[in-house]
Amino acid sequence: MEDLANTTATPEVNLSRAGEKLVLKLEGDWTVRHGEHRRIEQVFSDLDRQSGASELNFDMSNIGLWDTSLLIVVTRVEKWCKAHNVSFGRDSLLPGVKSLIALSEEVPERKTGRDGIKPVSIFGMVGNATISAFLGVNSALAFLGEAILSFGRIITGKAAFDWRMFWLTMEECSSQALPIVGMISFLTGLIFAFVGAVQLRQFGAGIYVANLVAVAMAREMGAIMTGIIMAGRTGAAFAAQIGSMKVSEEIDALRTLAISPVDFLVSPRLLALSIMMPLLVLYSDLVGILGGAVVGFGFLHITWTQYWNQTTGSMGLIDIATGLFKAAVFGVIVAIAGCERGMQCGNNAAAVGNAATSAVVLGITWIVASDAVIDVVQEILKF
Amino acid sequence: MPVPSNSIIDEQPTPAERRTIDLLPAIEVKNLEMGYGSFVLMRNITFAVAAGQVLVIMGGSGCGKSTLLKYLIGLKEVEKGEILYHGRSFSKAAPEEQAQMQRTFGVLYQGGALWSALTLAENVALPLEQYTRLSAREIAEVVSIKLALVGLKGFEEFYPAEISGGMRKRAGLARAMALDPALLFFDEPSAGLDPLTSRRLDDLILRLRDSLGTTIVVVTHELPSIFSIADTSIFLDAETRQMIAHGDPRDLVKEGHSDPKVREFLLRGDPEKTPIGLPRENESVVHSQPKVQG
Repeated sequence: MEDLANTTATPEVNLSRAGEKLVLKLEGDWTVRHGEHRRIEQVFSDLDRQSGASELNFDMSNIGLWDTSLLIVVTRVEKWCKAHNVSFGRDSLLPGVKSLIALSEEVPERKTGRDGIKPVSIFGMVGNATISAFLGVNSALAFLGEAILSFGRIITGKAAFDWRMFWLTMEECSSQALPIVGMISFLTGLIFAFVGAVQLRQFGAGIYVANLVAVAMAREMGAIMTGIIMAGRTGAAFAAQIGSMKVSEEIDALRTLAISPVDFLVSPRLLALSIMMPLLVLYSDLVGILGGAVVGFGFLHITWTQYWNQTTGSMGLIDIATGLFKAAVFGVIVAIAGCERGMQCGNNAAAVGNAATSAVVLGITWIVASDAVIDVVQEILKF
Repeated sequence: MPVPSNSIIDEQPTPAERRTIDLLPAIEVKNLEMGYGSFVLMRNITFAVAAGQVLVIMGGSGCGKSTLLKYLIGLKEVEKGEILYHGRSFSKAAPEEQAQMQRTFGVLYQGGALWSALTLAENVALPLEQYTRLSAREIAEVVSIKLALVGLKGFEEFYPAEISGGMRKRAGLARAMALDPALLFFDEPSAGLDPLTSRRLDDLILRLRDSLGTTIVVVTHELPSIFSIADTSIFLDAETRQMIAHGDPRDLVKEGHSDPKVREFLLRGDPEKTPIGLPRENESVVHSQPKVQG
């Protein structure tokens, strides 16, 4: 073994010339850690001043440690030689360096066309976003259509319906969702009661807090809050589950068995969520009203009986039915958004995350938009 | 004779220290016991690998090859036994020291394990940005060389999702090599690759060993690769839960030189057969330089 103690640690580079032949002498440790090899810039300035040179060789006899930083220098020098029509003395390289350089040149650079891509202008971005939004709506509607057709196949017994997934989703959307739906609904009722109490107490009408909370929860807030919770909880889960299945080619495996992924994966989730959402909303209404009653009893000194009578007197069957109808619609929206985003997912981990995020955003947006549409239609029809 | 460097980030040893280090095995495993919870997967694993050698970990499916790799790179904590690198205990080192030692490792995972939100160039550049003081231009040059070494020049701006599984694996290798590690670990590098790409990968492993003196550990059961790249090997047996062979696979395949299970494995169960990838008598191993198709 050679005496490593004799190697020069500091990297040095010297250029010499004999007639038309240039010699680049590299000494010391050429490692990225040293960093001093940046002095090579000075050598390139010297090289540029050499006119009439025909050949460049290396003297690497006193090199100590080396790594990729030496390859960087060699490849730069090789480029310089090509640019200046100077013969590059490859044979003067260390065998290891020569071997790695040769390996790196074995496969020629692939022309991928990526270099010529121009940045998109602001108008282009707006246009792309608009087209993308329209395509998104189109895709969601097409997916809804597929789900309806699948429902038809299920009724006629022609679909491969996954009952295990149906019952599992029922469980996920019922008992497992009760704590979060209960807590949010209770707090929503409480907040509504506080907001109402501050205003109504000024007119001695604190008792009407019960009306406000009951109608708001039954018609709007119960359904909306539950819809938003389920979009964040279940819709995102649907997108991530189906997206992961797409990444691992499980959906392709279903297709090759001539099993419709919509029948097998989407319909059980869609049906289970559509059935459970109205029940969850009913529960949400009750817990929200309880939240309002706590404020009425604790801060407005209304008795439980008074609060209950006021609540039942203010709320009609149509209010509850409106809330339940919205719940069913929101259930379909959350399931469709989650499953559709999952089915449209790309084939990598980031795409699964994007699909889940997109499912939540899409679900909440459509919940709020459809709620507004239902309210307007209801007003026109005088329900 | 010039010496390739394998430590670009940490304090490098003095020449006297280097001489001592060179005499020690690059990897030493002493009585290692592997398992999951109370389940013992493998016990009494003991072997050593000299610096600049290629070790192949062999064994049937589910015997614990990849688990052993996890112990070697510090993803699983050693409870019984010890792992040393260049004479320094890795398994008993403090977390900071262990992290410092891990920076001299390069690991190629089975699927490449590229970060999907980053381009190939960004994937390879990340360790360089984190652990070196190179300028942006120099990092770009290193990235270009590393990708060229694995035959992916021109794919710098591609995302992992836009390339094939084999290309992802090669890009993962480029990332593993980014910091010129002293130790390279490969988990099933040839699995799922076409024969030409697989052969080129074997060629790259040998050139890294010969040019940079890198110590390389490869988990594989691809027989052509085993005979092509291994300087030494170990064989893990799931039945006895022990390492039942250690040595050059070309020797292990000879009758009477190892446990019959090892021979059976290396001959694919047919003792009359010439091992795949092992040259017949009077033939020498010649590495061609095949062109890789994307």
